[in-house]
Amino acid sequence: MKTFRTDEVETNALNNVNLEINEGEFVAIMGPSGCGKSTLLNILGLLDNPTSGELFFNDAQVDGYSERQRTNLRKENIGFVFQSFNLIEELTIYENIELPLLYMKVSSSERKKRVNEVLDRMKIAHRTKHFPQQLSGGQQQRAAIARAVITNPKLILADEPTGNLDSANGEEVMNLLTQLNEAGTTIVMVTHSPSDADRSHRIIQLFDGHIVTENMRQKL
Amino acid sequence: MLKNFFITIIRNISRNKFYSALNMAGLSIGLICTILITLFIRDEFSYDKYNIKHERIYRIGSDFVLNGKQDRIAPSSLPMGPTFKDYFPEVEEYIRFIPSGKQQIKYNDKDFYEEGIAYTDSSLFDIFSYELIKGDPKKVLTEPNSVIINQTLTKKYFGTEDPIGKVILVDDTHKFTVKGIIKDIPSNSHFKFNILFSISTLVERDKEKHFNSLGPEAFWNFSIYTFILLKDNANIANVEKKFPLYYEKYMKEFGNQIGVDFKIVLQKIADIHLKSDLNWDAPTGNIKYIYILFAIALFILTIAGINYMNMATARSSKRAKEVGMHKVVGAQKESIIRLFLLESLTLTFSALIIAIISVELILPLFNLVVNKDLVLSIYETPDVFLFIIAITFILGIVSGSYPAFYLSAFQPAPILKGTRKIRTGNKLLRQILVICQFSVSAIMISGTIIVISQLFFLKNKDMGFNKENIIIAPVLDSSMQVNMNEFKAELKKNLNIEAVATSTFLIGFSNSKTLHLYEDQNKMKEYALNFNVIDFDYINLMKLKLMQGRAFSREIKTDSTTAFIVNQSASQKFNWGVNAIGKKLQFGVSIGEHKDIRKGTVIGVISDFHYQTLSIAIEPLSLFVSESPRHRRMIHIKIKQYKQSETLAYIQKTWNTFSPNHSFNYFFLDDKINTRFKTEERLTLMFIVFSIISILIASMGLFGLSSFMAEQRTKELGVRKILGASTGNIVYLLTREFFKLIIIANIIAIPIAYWALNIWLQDFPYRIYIHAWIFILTLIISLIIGLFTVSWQSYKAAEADPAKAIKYE
Repeated sequence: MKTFRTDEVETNALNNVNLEINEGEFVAIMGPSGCGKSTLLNILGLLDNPTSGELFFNDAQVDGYSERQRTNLRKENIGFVFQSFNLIEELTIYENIELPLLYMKVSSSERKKRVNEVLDRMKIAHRTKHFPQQLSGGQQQRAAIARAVITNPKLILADEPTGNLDSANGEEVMNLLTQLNEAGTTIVMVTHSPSDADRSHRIIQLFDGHIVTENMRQKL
Repeated sequence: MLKNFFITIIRNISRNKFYSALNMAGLSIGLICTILITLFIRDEFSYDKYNIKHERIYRIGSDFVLNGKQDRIAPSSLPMGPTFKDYFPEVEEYIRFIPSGKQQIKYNDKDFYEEGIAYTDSSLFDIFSYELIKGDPKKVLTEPNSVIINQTLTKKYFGTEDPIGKVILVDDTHKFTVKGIIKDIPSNSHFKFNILFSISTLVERDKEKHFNSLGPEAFWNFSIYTFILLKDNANIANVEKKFPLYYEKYMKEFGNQIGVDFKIVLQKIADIHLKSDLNWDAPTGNIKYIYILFAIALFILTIAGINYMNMATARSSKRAKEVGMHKVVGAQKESIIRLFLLESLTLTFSALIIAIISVELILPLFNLVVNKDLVLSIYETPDVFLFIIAITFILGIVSGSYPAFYLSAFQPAPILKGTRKIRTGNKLLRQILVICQFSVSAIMISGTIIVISQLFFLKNKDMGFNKENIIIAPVLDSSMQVNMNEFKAELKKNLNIEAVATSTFLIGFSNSKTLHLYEDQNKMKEYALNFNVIDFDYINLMKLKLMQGRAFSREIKTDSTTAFIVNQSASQKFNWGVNAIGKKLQFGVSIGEHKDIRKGTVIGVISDFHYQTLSIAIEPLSLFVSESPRHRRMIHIKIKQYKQSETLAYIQKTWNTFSPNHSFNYFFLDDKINTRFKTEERLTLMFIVFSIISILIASMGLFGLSSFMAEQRTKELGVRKILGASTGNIVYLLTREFFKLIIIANIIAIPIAYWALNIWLQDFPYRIYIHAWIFILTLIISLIIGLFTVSWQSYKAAEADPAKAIKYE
């Protein structure tokens, strides 16, 4: 359970959510605005701690971890993709993508190798020296995905990754996520788009902090 | 990692050129002031410490209480030095300086008038660390009629010639042989001299063998400066403890006779400049000014630091996403804190580099203002470098810490989602910081007004005598002193010369105290009274006002032998009331063989006038006329305003016929009196400059902050305009808040400024009082500056196209 306190009212953003996500899964979370999707994603991404309840990651109980512990767990295992990309404006595309490796203290030659590799994979190798604002939305999101996958995370959390993109760019981003999933990465994605949700294995419908339906889909 | 930090920092700086420039300028100016003030204070504390033995050098001063009046003076008497060395085993050596005023020095056909001349003992180089460029330090001052001259004057007199062995003529009568050249005395010396004569000259000249006398007339004549050098490991407290025994042996008999309570004042040489509170001292510094300057430096740095904190936290919303993203990809809180501290340190140290370069450029000008030879270099002032590096480091850490802790505490999730509006830092804290800045500025503004007012007050205070259009010239030529009456008559032939008079001491500059006996209920009592020897025309020329009796008259023969005029303070001190006329007064008392006394009666009382500097309350004074030519040392010539240059030419011509060997060296009395306020003038100038700087930095901060606020509220203002707000409404909306802060700041500043400036004013016996208008004026000035700073940005925001503003995201 996650409770937000303001001065007068306590709001339970999530209540009685029981969810297990298996390795290699592609899960889509849907629901109206304010139903708790992002809160759920933040808890899964260890950006937030649940107020009560239990949370396991890789079989370890992680609720109640300190900020330091959560940060360490996060930087090794989880990648994030946001609707608004959240690239750091003062850094070039190359430097943005390199950033997580710096926090993991990866050697310089290794960093160079891995960043170039992922830049090729995301088809933005020609944009490395540019700053985020100089890129199109699709390119920025590909850079953001590149940053998310550079550490080879087990889990990628995507918060409306196509929300700010046109359909062609959105399609391309979804292709990338699907490919990552096929290569073994677990993906949890919040989305409003039914067609994006169609790419997942399982759709979770949230309403008012509760899971209302859970559709298992069999990919053909 | 570090590289990445620096990249972000540098790009952040260059992305936000406007805010970075404001911050950098503020920090640099703050550091420039700090460096200059540090150099100044360091110099003030370094006085006389270049003497290797300074820890062991003490000056003997005197403290006596006579008839309830205490006098603490720097001079001592001639026998004290030698008898101290004999009596106290702690004393290794002594040295005496007998100052000799302005003198004429002649070499070949050139003549010069020099100050900074003294007779001194040959122990000079055993005690002080002066550098002798030529000559043997053991011998240069031993023989009679020897002289050592400093480098500057040597160059002036002898050019490229070798001066050793050359003979100079002093006051047309005494010949001295140059025995040595001394390096110019460092500017951080509490007393400075240019020429030193050997003291043995005076012994040789003294036909009656008074010079080495141990009689009371020698012990009780306080007119020279004596320093003693203690032996290694000797304790000055022992000398002080044993002094009563010394007093009993040498001085007690006469002391008891006049009923004086005498004590010794032993001052460490390095303490004299800042801490001496004695009269008759060389011009000294003032520890209060050191405190004031230190406070100013601290103020200016605080203001600059606050600017940085304010701007950094105000812009936090812009940085929030960056922080959030660093956290998401694995940055711990500490690395975020480190990032921001590193950023503030980068900025402050860049500002330091700019400041150091600027100081090197400004220093010559600053030296001119403060009359010092300050230098900033790694070799000569490494301590200053270390200090400012430490200060800069503290400044960077302190001003960076708030933004660092504030921003690093952001929870990344809501920021990155964009669901929560980031508040732009803590508004209350920012308001408090702005209030701090403007309180400091208000203290500086009111301080400036008060210091200027006090200076204006001193300069325009009625001195109680006429000081306009009076030419003064020292008369060093003894034949002219003898022919003074003829010279005066010749001058008076010119209709533009109104009056001519002579005196022994120059009003406002030098005077002398001597024991007098005054009539108190038919008994004669001792009192150390200031006196001046004048002529018949002096009272009239100076326009001194008679309260009782009459002025000196040529018609009455006894006026030049037995008549006295005293000032009101003396009449009050002696309880003579309205019956002062006819009271008995005696100049001098007979001490041993010394009988320079004059018995007489009071013929007049003049109202008090400032015959000393305004920094001393008016003391009792006696005046008398003497026909003896040696008392005619200062000539006063009162001229008409009109055709001054012609009159001066006439005086010059007449002077040359009476005194062909001495040039006419004159000055105007009012100019000379105004130079008395140099310390106050310097302080005023510094106050003005530093308060303008502190206001400037505070304004830059306010300007940045208000621009940022306006920028932040673009959308809100757009909506307001669409709903019908006028430009005036919006300017009011944006400036109102800052006005409130400035008013609060002024209210806080008033008691602090009042308290601090009252302490400063307490030093002046004649002073202004701090009135409410000063603080009202301060408030008005602060508001005008605030309005000026804030309104431009507000106006720009108010005039912006609202359609564009609401689209802006």
